[in-house]
Amino acid sequence: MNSSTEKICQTPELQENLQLFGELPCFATFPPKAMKLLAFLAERYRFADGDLIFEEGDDFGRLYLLLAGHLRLLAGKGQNVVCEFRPKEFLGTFSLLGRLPALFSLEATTASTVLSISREQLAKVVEQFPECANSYLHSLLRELHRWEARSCRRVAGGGQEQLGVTVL
Amino acid sequence: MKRDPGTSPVTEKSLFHWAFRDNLKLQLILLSLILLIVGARVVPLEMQKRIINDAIALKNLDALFLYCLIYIIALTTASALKLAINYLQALIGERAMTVMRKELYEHILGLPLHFFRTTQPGMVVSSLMTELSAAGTFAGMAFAVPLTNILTLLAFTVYLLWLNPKLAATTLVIYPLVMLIIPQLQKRANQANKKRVDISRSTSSQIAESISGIHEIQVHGAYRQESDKFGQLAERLKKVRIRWSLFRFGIKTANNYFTGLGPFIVFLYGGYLVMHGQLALGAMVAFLSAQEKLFDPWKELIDFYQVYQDATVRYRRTMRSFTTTPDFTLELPAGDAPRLSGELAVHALTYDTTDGLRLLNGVSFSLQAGEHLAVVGFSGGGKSTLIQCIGKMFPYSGGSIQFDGRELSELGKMEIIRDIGYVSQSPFIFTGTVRENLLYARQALPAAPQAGGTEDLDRQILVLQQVGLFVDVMRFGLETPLEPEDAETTRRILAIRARLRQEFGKKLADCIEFYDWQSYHRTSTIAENIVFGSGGSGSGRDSGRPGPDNQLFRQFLGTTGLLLPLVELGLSLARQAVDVLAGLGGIELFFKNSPVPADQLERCEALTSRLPHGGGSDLPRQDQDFLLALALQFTPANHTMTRLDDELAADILTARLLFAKQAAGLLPGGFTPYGETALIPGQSILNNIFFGRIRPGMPSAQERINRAVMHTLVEEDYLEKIAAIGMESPVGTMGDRLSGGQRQKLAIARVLLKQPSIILMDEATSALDNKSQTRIQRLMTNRWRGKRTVIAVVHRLDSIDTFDKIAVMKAGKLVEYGSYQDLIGQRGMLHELIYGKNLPDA
Repeated sequence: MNSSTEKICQTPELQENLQLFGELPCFATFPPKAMKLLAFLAERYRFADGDLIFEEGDDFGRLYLLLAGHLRLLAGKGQNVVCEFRPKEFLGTFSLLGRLPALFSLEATTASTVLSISREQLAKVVEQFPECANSYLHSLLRELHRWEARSCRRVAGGGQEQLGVTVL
Repeated sequence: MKRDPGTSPVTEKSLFHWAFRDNLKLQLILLSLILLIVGARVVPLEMQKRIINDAIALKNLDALFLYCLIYIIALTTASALKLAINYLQALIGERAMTVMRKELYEHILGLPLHFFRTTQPGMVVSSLMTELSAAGTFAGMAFAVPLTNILTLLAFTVYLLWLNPKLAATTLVIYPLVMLIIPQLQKRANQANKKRVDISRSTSSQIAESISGIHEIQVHGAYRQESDKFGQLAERLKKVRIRWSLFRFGIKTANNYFTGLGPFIVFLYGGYLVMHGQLALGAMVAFLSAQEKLFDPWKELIDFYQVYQDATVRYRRTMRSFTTTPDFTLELPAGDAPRLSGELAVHALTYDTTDGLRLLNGVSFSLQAGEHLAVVGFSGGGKSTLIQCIGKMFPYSGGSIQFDGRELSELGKMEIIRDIGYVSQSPFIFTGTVRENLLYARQALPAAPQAGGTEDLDRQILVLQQVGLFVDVMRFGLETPLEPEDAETTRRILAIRARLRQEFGKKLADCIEFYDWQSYHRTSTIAENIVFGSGGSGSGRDSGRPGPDNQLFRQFLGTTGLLLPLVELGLSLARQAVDVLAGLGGIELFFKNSPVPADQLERCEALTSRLPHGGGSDLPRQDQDFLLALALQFTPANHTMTRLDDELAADILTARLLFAKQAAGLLPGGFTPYGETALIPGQSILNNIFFGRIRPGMPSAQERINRAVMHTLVEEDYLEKIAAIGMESPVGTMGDRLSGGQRQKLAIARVLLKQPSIILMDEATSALDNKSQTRIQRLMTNRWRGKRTVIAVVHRLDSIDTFDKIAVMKAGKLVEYGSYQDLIGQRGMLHELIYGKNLPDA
């Protein structure tokens, strides 16, 4: 940050975005200037109770960081709940990498607010700061590893055939 | 549309057919005028002779006056007649050409589809518009010109022979000579002309192809390749045109030269005769004059000959490219043919292309009326070909297709059009309104019902609802700018606005920021917050725009004490934009929510580097104005990087009140403050109804507002009015204002409106989103099953279980046919298509 930064009266929103993204593992190692751009580009969306944020088959291409409210991920025609999201939790890091039809639907179960970055926005940021690409991929890899390690512990009793994502 | 089977097709007709068809009366009038003009042209010659021999030589003044009078009358009459003849010629020419164009165009529209696959539109355009015009010119001349000139020539020749047979015979020897040489030259010119027509056509096609593929050209940067292709053709065209011109002018020059020999012979031989007293001087003058006059009709005859040759070449070449005969006649069978029920039996169907490629190979299946068939399979399997054969878009090569036991090849095309609806994957939408496109298919039916009644509007609305286009049409209607309308419309819209606010105001508060005189409007710019209303003539944003350049407005800001705070705000905006965005290049995406547009960032950088600290009050006027402009466009709800100070917002509200009071002086052309009882002219009907701005960041806002507005419109009984306005909205050139999905929906709607008993769909829902696809699926299952036979080429396999039958096509063959359950049970091709090859047992 340059010397003039301190003098500028930023909105609480921009500062808050900076802080929130700083806590996300996938952005944490981005250079400060890139973080600031990302925080500037990020958009806040509000959803009403029952709003579908994306549907199965959509290529939603966004990262959502839940700021307030409650979201749940639904699968199949039976709308089985896969997992739920509470404030400070996030989803969509993979969708920022490339086109991918969603296997689930995301629904807001109460009035919710999210902070969001789109694939296009991230791509443009990476264009400006190429070092971000590696750091983003590394963080995803770490996350994936952590996730599978956790799964391994959980399914110790059986169902191992579902594992092995990290050796794909 | 009806074609008389007795007459020859349009492309076989001779050039003369057009000159005389429907023009016989005009041609006869022309003939009588021509006879008159020939007489009127000979008279002055005789008068010349008499003036010299009888009047001047005998000093007879009365005779001089008389002959001169007759001379001038004949001359005037000849000129008037010439004008009339030219007019008639043009009239006949234009009439003939128009009929020719119309009939050829109708013929072209009916040509088989394979013709258009290999024909560039440019070739059709140049044929119809350019090449045929020569034929038209000829049609006007076809009768009159040769006749006038031959008669004139004969008259002069007879007159010359009468004057002096020996001299006449000598001078006339030239003409047979000319008639020997010119056809030789003309033959060469014709060859060049034929080549020219062909190359012109290739060039047109080349241009058309390049323009159609402009996307690829620009994407691949293939400018040079395309220029080269065009350049080569242009060069060839140049060469052949030069050759052609050379021969044409060669003919003219040869002709001029030989006819120029005429006077030479008269002087030489006539002079000799006069000297020997065998010819009077007056007679020689008359002879010379008549001899010279031979030249004009002769020249015109030669011109005519050239036009005739040119027109014939062009006409034949043009017609020859359209000699393909249409596959089907368009007539309805005599009497009332029974409507098709939808029962279909296909047996051993084959289809071969003109190149001998077999696209369908022994396809057999049958459907009861009202059954639904999904055609699936690998690409290139013949799915589209199958339904296009069933839709009689081209004739099948073998086997049979029977509707209600009647063979398709024996059913008239019009009967098929009446009872079969076809929706293609990328339907064509015509330039015009939504309604025109909606009615397009139905109006082509022989007994098209009259559009316009309320019952009809209800039916159109129903169809739009069924295909899911109604909401879009309503949006078009709602987005139509509000014209300064009558008091009734104003009253109705204000009533709708009041009702919406009353019933939905609270529920929509998080979607819409309503205009409220008492509070700062965060989704509007600062300028809009000060000028809180519409002013000037038309839209409030365009005229008398409040900005730094507007002196009165600047003064106003000064007196309200807003000027400096706004400049400071502008400086703050500039600093923050520089802080975040400087050095990143003008990427559009970065500036979407920036209060500083990309093209002004550089100036902001320069300005802030000169002024790293401190305020903007010391800046020169120019820089202050720049910052002021930035601040006036600042919109807190969108430009979230900067905060609007509460104090400044309050001052702006005070200024707003003052502005309304002084508006008459500040905004010439009238000012209407945003109030509950006034409309905003020039803004959309929707804006006038919800009277505010949509807050950003709520994806479902639009839909919720739409629902509330629809609900209110229904309650206020104004829905149909808006739908009618929406249906009148233009779809753009070839439908470019519609999305792919909207175009497909409109294409389905226009087929539905004519209520066919059989509907053929060729991936007709491929551009639709999930929700719209489900809607069409529901429509098919709930409303059409049992009533309309459906054959659909389907690309998405997750929804085919609702079809009665599934046909799996591969390489032109029907490899599987049966119900979904049966086929899945068989674990054959369909199973493989859906679940892939190597799936272990589930």
